[in-house]
Parts: sequence; structure tokens; C-alpha cells
Amino acid sequence: MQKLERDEWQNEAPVLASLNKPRELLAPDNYFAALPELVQNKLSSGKVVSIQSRLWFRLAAAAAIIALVVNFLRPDTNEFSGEISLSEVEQSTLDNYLDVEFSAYLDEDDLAEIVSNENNRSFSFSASTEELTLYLEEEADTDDMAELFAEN
Amino acid sequence: MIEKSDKELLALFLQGDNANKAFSLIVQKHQRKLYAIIRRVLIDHDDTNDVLQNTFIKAWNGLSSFREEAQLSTWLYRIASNETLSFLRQSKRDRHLSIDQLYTDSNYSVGNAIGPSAEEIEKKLHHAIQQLPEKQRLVFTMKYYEDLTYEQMSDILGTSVGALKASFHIAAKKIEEEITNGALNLSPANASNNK
Repeated sequence: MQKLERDEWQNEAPVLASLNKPRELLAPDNYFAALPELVQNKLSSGKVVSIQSRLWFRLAAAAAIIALVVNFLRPDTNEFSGEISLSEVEQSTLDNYLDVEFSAYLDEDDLAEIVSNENNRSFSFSASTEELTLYLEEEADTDDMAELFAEN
Repeated sequence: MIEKSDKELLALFLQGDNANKAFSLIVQKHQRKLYAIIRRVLIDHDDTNDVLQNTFIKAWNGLSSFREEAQLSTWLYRIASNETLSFLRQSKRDRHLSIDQLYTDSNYSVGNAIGPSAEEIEKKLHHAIQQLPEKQRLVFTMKYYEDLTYEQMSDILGTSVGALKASFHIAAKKIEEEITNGALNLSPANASNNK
């Protein structure tokens, strides 16, 4: 059994530190042999399940990101309040970016608070500079977002 | 056969003609490690399978614009982490059922045979981990099970090393309390006897 590196947490959790690591949870037989083909088949068929598949969610998420970037790049104001037009942004770029980078951090509940009409392609958003900066520092890759914003 | 490096596989993918083959090789190369960490968090194989397939599909969609500032493995871990957290946040299932099922499921396979006493401890540990908030559970799993360094985790999760250390320490302390309370009433000495 591989021994965990000695770390100060072990002083606070001596029982946990003294346990053997639990057993590996193994996949069914032949699962890994079949997975590459399963993924390829799914890609070929176009039957890709998206956790955030509803259009309004994608549009709102994209708008939220842009709003955050706008505010982040304009730190001279204490408050951001404005309307974002999604028609200025290539949808596929945003879809892909959101899928890869932000799917864990934005969900429908979060966005329901700022989106009132699912058919809107724009929304108004207001938050303090401090709140948004904290969000960006903790959860977002600002270089990526700045680049995305610059491209558009 | 010599395994191709991520850089070689990426170059093959970007050539276009062999994109499907290159991507299959990428899946083959990284699937086990990604599966292991997702499965540790989600417990259930079917859930893990769904999340892992989504991970690779999103990787396919984003691979042509992948920048080599990060390692491919780190990028894949990041997608898998996001997918796992999304799943946890949106899942309507009772996660605790998965653990009980795990120990009664005849299809459950283990890496090493261990005695019933150790199994009881293991079950308690699984329960304790499932009580953690989603992101803390992921941090704990990456460190405790996968032995990732805080720096690697920072690259994957986009969180500072300090915040990750704090998160892991809090998680370890919570689990310690959970496994030392209740029926098992373990002391470090007793726990060592299960090795």
C-alpha cells in the first residue's frame, strides 16, 4: 500500500491517516476495451447528451461571462450595469468555451436569478466590482476570458 | 508497441486525416485515470460512464482549439472535474444509495481482497466522503486517492494551492470526526490493526 506523503493534515486526522486506502473501484470486464469505440459512435451519431442543453441557459451563460469580462476589464467603475448583446458573439465559440471551462460553475439555478425571459438574447446585470472580481479570482481563468472578449 | 506522447497524439489529431484514430488513442491512454477519479467521487459505475463519455465528447469538441500551455492530461482532468461537479449538482438521485448498493452488488470488483473488518471501515469512509460538499469531495479524492500534488490540482481546478490545502484539511477533519464517531469507535491503534 502506497504511503501518503507526510503532511500536517495527518496530525489533525490520525485515524484517517492510519487507514489503508480503500480498494480501487474497478470497471466491468472489457469496459475500457469498448469505451473508445463507444465514444466514437456517439460522436458519429451526433447523439451527444448535453447537461446544459436548453438554449436559454446557453445564451444566458454566455451573456453572464461577457458581462463579467466587461466589468473586469473596466475596473475604474465600482458598479457594472448594462445590456449585453449576444448577436456580437459567435455562438459556437461561446458554446464550446462554456462547455469546457464553466460547466461546473454555472447552473440553471444561478442563472434563473438573472434571466427572466428565456427568449431574450440580452439581459441586464448588476453586481459590485468587488463581487465580480472575487468571482473571477476564485473561479475563472481571466486570461482565457480576456482573450475571448478581445476576439469578439 | 511504444505509446505515443500526448504531443504526438495531438499533432496526429490536428493533421485531420487521422483525427478519429488519434482521438481513440487519446481516449485509450487517459480513460483509466479519469475513470478512477470520477468513480471515486460518484461511486456508481453507470454515472461514471455517463460523465466519462461526456468528458471525452467535450474534449473532442474542444481539442482543435486546445492550447499547449497546459498538459493534455491536465486539460482532460479539468473537463472531467467540471463534468463531475455538474453531475453532482444536477443529479436528483440519492447519492447514499450508491454506497449501500456498492457493497451488495455482485458485480462489484475490488483490486485487493480484504477482511470484513476493513470493509466496514471502508464503508464508513465512503459514507463520510459522500457527506462532503461537491467541490471538497473532489479535492479530497484527488489528494487522498490519486496522490495528486496541490500544484497539479491547482492547474486542474483553477484554485490556489492555499485554498486547496485548506479545503483538504477541512475535509480530512470532517471525515476523521465521521469515522471516529458511531459504531466503529476507532482509535489510530485499532485502525492500524486493519492493515
